Amino acid sequence: MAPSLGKRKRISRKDLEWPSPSPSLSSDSGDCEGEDVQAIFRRAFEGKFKPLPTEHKKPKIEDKEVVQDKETEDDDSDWSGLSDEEDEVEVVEFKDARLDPDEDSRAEMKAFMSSKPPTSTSAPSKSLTVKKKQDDSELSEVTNLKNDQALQKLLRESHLLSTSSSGTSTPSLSATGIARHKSTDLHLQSLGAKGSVFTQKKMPMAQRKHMVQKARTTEEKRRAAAKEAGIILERPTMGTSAGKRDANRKREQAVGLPSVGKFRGGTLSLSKKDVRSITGGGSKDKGKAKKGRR
Amino acid sequence: MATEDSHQPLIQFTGHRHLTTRLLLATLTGRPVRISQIRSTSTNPGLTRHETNFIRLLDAVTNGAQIQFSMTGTTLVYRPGLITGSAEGLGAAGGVIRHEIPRECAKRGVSWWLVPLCVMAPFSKGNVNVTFFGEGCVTSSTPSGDISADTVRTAILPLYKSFGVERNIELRILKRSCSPQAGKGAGGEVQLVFNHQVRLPKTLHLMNPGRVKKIRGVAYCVEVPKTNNERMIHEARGVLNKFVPDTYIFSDASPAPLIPTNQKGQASGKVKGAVGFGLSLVAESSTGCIYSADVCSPPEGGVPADEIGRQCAHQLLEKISQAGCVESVAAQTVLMLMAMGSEDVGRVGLGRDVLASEEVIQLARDSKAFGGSGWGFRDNGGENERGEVVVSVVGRGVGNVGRKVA
Repeated sequence: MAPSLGKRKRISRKDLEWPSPSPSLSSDSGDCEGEDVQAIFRRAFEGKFKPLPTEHKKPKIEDKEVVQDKETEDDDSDWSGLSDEEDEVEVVEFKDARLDPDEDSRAEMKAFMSSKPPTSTSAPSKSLTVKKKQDDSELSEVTNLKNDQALQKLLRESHLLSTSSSGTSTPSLSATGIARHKSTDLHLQSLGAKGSVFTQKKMPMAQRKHMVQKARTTEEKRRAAAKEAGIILERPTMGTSAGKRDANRKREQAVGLPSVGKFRGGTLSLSKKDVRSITGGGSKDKGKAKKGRR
Repeated sequence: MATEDSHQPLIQFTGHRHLTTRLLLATLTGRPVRISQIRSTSTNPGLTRHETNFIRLLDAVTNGAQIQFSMTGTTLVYRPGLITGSAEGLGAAGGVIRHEIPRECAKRGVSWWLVPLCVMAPFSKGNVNVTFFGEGCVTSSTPSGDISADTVRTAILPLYKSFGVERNIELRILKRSCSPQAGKGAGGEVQLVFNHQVRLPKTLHLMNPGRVKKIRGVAYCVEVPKTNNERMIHEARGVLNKFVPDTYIFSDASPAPLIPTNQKGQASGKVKGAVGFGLSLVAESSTGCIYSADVCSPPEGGVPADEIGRQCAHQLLEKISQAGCVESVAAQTVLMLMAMGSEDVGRVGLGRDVLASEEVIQLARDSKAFGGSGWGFRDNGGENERGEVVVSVVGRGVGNVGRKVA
């Protein structure tokens, strides 16, 4: 539509410039002459060699348009540029539906080829998942939650990653090897595991004592250094620190065992303190005994 | 039980036709029957081998049945017992009845035994677990018009769900076999597990056939190249994909079953069973109605797999064109279960061609002879230009005698 509008405008302007139709006619005749010269050349060429391949329609149409719209040569050249779109390659994509690999076809086959009579209820599960996917806000919420959890985990276990990646050349966010085991252990502890799986359960008493002492001295050294440097550290956790027993922690005892004495090797051995606590009076320090055992 | 039965008048029938349905109705209703003039004018009079074999099966799954033949085998008196299923001590070993089908019965497919047994199974006292085996056990469809065991599983057994019978039903095809040439053995093996027994099947109201939404199928080949399966599938899909894009046909290739033999030439002591290939198609509508088609290569061979695939697809289209909620091979099962249901009017829409078949009409007459009420017919517009007929069946309300006090 737009080019025709433009043309009309131009024509109207030309009409204003040349009110008489004669100049346009003369240009038309000039065009015809050009055409004739070309035809003469062509005939001469074809006489000598084989006929030239030509499209006969296009020039005819152009001629008609020229006659109808009374166009000039420059307008004509505009047209020849547009008409090139005819020989566009049409691409037909053939896809055989039978060859389409289907991810649920295997499940379908299992359901259908089992010895049980097939049920028509296998289809709905598929449609349910499709529905969920379509809901955009829900999807983003789910991904947000996932990302959030991943971030929390990363923060919690960043110290593991930093220590593990210090040795390797390329630090990565995903823990591997021993760091991964440690992070799993931390996760388990956060979920309520009793202790780390890496703590050695059985070891010589002296060694254990040394370990505890070492941990304490390292901690003390760190605190001292921080104090000197003027760094404020986290509060030392009271009671749970190594080597000290939690004061208000209840001693865990088996159900049904005697609450006094030590049961060892099938015999219950009572210390003097225990005897005193049972017999009650006649002791020097009654309160102490009461406090000791319950 | 037997003395009680002997006072009941015998219901008289003549001819060898519809023998299984009559014996089945007799067993389900507990009425004794006398069938006379069984092929009395034939040069080979009396019951055929597969008919006597079916009576043997009835004897195996019931307790206290009495069967009397005349000398020529042209007259049969059957006093049914209680359907006990695979109860221990009554022919079952390890909870499984092993029922042998001899070579002479190879003309009929195993579905000829299976379908009546399935109708009996919900009314059994105990679980039903029967393994069919032997040289006459043909799991594929047969030229005599029996459907394949695959079709029984995919087109007949799902119908029981609408009667409230759906749990613990299995049909295992342990060894595939095709219909053999004359004088040869088949050697298939099929196990039916039917462990859902009910007091009374639910009343059925099925009048809207819906639209076919999916087509499934099994292409099977025994001892022949698997390309036969692919060709059948390709050809069948070529016909059906235009109508229902949701078409999947699965392929199952298996070796021929080995049959133990004591022939001279066989050093191994075994011969291979019948070979061949076939296709079983099942169309399911949006309301759960099922149409099936079944074509198998003939025993003498000579038909290309493409031809079998095309025939099967066309057969399925023909079944669908008959309209109705129940197709012809399943109509007897559905109507019989409805007749054995609670004392209530159940309705089912059937295509005119399905209803007008000889089997269905004879079933209506027979069930009346066994004391059932007559069926009601009402015209119901339907999609088909010839319309559908709604059949109303009043149940007997007797149901499972073995489960009465449970």
